[in-house]
Amino acid sequence: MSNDFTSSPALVDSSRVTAGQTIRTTEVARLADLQNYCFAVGGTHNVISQTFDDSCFRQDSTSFVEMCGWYIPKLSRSHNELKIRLSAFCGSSGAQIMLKLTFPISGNTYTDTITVTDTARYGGVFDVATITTLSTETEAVGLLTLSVKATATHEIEVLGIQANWSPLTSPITAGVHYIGSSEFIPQGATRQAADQPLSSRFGVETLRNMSTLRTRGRVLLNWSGVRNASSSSALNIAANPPIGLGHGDQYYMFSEVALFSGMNELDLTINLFANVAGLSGGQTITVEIFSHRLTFSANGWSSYSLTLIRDELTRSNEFGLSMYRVGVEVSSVNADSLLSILNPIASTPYITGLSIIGV
Amino acid sequence: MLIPTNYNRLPSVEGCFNGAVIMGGTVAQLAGGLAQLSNAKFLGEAHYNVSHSLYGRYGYSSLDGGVSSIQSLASYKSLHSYFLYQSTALSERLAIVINYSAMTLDDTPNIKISLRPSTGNSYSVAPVDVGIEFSNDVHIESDLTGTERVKSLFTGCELIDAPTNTTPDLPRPLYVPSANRGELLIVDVEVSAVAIASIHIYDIFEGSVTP
Repeated sequence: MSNDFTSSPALVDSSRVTAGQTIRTTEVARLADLQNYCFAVGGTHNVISQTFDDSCFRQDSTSFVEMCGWYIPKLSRSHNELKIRLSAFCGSSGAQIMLKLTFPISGNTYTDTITVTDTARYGGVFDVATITTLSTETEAVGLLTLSVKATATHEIEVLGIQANWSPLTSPITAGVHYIGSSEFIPQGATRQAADQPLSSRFGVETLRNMSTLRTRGRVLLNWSGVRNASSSSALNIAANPPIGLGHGDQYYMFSEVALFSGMNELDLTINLFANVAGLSGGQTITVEIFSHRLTFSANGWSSYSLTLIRDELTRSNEFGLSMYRVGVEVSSVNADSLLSILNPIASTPYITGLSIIGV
Repeated sequence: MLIPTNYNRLPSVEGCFNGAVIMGGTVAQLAGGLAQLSNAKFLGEAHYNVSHSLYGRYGYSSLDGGVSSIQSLASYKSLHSYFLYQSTALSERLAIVINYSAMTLDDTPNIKISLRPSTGNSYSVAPVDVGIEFSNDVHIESDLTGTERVKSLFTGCELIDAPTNTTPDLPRPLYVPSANRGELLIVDVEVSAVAIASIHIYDIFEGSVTP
């Protein structure tokens, strides 16, 4: 009873599943195929997407220095291969980049280190790191951090990072799978073939699988400030990247994304993770993101669950989906609290990482 | 079939128990709910923020720690940047939104976008779609100093057929040949006198799909 799926999947013929029609095995087989496909492939597009302008992300230390961090969804306990592509260069061989994936509750970590290939800006190829996690990891999100080290003679520069989980191959392994703690049971193709009874179990498991798949996270916005940049050049030349959210990010730091109505009624929320720095005793920082006013009182990563309360964008008409602006709001609260010439980083708490994961 | 764009209420579990009378609607709801997942929720997307030096052109926010504004630099002349996109089996056409600032002090603002495969992890494999061009004053809004707040460009979501152009077209979605769907792709963006604040790449949703 193989849990096969086709890619791309074939949809059910809606005219064949109306009242009065005999349900063909074709339709039932496609229902099984679709849910297997969604579990194996759904959400395996980018979970990290960020680039850096020239001379911005620079490091001259010959020891590893941690510079960035992003929260990412883990698609399931069965998706265990994270591919990370890095566009970087160093004038001499030996510069390295280390990626570390940490699951925040268990504290388990997985790392991979790559040696930078290119010696000039987009000189030839990007480098690929692979982090392989254990299927025993039960958490639905993880924190990926990036550390770099230069060579003794040349600084290292990072131009971009992209990451995604590898899709599962067909057939899916038999047995129960999990997204976080929610069950997914793949459907066997043989049981949906002709002359086999359509079991009650098929319907019950399909409903459960759909509810589980609806909880799978998709990245709506993922940004990290660049911390500890260092160069022998002056700030007007190199190593002067954004470390925290600035007041200009009211206009730049957002995505236009599709969100699906019904999520509030199903208690599906958007998870926001923010990395706060610079707070001293008793201080707080308040920002407005995705129409919610959020106050942070501790340094390090904090999270909020946000409901959908804002209006659609007019661009929904072109996408054919309900599109929303997700990110930092243009507001007087943000103008007062984000980094600026009036709130310089030396004396102001700030947000140095922002990950927004929707459903 | 028509693809639902929301999380419809699912049929009750009891409706699938042995002995229950199954109506066509129950199976139709299952079909619609799964189609929403495969053809709407799990469409590919990538949201790139482009971090720029705080010194920028004028050095105003060099010590602030966060961005105040983004301006094009004198070095932005036919400057290529590469945005990696993990496509899906359903990535037939890609819509692109670019948020940018453009200035005319050094050059005439211009953006060209093409689509390349990532064979051998190389940036320079021949494009699978020669792509499109945004031109100044036609599509790009610019000023002399580039200090205006960010503007937005959009390719639209037209369901185009496979293009045959050998030079960049007017703005339209990029087309992914069937052989490249599901692969890691490279969106090659060439700019002159334009600073990109963010670029967003989307699989285009199709409201009606023939099973």
